[in-house]
Amino acid sequence: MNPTDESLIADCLAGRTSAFGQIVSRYQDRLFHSVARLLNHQEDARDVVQETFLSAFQNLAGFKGDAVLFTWLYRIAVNTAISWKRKQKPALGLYDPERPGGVDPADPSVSVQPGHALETAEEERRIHAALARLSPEHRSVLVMKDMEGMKYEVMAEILQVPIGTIRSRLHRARLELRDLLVQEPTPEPADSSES
Amino acid sequence: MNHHLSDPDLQLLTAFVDGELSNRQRKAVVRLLHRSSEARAFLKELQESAFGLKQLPRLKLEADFAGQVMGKIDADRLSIQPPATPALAKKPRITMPRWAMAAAILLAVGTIGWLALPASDLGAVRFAFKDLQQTTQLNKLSKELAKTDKLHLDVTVKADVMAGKQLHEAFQGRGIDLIVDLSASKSPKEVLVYAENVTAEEVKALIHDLGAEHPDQFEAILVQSMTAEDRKLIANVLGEEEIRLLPPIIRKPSSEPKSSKGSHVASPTGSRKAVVFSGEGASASSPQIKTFLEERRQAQPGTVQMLLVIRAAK
Repeated sequence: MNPTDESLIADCLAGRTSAFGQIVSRYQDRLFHSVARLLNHQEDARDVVQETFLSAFQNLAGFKGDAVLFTWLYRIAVNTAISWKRKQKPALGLYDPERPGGVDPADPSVSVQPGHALETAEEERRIHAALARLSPEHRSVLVMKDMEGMKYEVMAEILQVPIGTIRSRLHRARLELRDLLVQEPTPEPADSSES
Repeated sequence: MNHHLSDPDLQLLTAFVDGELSNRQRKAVVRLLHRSSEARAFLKELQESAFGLKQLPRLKLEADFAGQVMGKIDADRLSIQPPATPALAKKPRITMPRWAMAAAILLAVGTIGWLALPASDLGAVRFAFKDLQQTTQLNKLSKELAKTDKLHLDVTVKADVMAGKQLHEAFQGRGIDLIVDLSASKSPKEVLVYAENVTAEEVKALIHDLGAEHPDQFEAILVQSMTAEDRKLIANVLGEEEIRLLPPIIRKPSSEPKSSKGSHVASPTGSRKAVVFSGEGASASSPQIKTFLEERRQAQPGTVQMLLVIRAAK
């Protein structure tokens, strides 16, 4: 049985710091996925996630369990990403930059269907392009809501804004994303007769 | 699609997609959907875009990432710090490290300083790409471009926009092929394009095309003369003596600015090349730089040398 977050934290605080490695393993990919979408840059996202865990480790005694551990980590990650953006000159993704990190298809059983791979890749590119064009403010709420499935209340806690702000920000973000997707060309449907 | 739904209705529909409605609000949405085909179409679009986001591939870190973090903790001798204050203990806040604070202050001061200075005080004139569709602004750009035969153009694009294709098209529209050094393909902070044997009219048309085709991606351009630093940089990248790189160019017969239609400087004929490299440097021995050097031609009268710096807007 996997140890709970609480027991891992207790182990760390008791001096068995190797338990922190399990916390990292447990949340690294969820954080990375979100931060990479927020920053739109996987290399930076990797550094931000590492910085997040280092910061969390040092501040672990300050975590009293009044929030879910992931929410607490996520909040550190968002703050770290903001600081990162400030201190870094923005990267210029001009020519198909080489990106590290693996990618899992959302549903392998579907992705092997004839003609589906190309269509899916194009649809992903379209959505990714639209997401990248959103303002960071709008992008962050969509990532939290649609990719992490967070409730307004949790998002408000992470971003330190009222729930009403989250609600209106998400509303504007959805409208903007919808408009951007309308502008992006839609992929041609795969011709099933060729299969 | 232009919608005629009221803003409260739209907000209800977006909150419906988010699953954050009360029972009463949900019933109101159901009624709205029942009576309005527009609401149904709008909801479908929202649901599709939300579904699309959910379906984006999950990005993953390498399997030994946790080990690397633990290694860093050991190497940096990091330890769990006691909570600084009771308030911190109750509601954890992540404080900004001193160096980050200092960087933020410097950044703020730098930004304010930049904003406070008019561009002309810096020997440069700034144009927003969207404004360059106006004849008056285009004429003003012409005048600035005519002031020097060694141009430094500083272009800001939206961060992480893939602007390579647009650049290629704009240059190819002037008969110039871009040779892209490998250094420019690795997401650098700045990308530089060096071109020679181009006329000011061509530069103007190129800038105009970028703004006309993609006003949402290209933000602004700063027009100024090349600096000594620029020359050194180009010389380093091309592996040449600066003096050989930048020979005196025969000035145009008149320094008067040309009108946008009436340039009397003919565009050089034949295929020309420009080289694209990273602002962080490129190797003079790279195959791309060598190709550029092999295809260089003698500077023609009335043409300019141009260093185009492309950087992501903050």
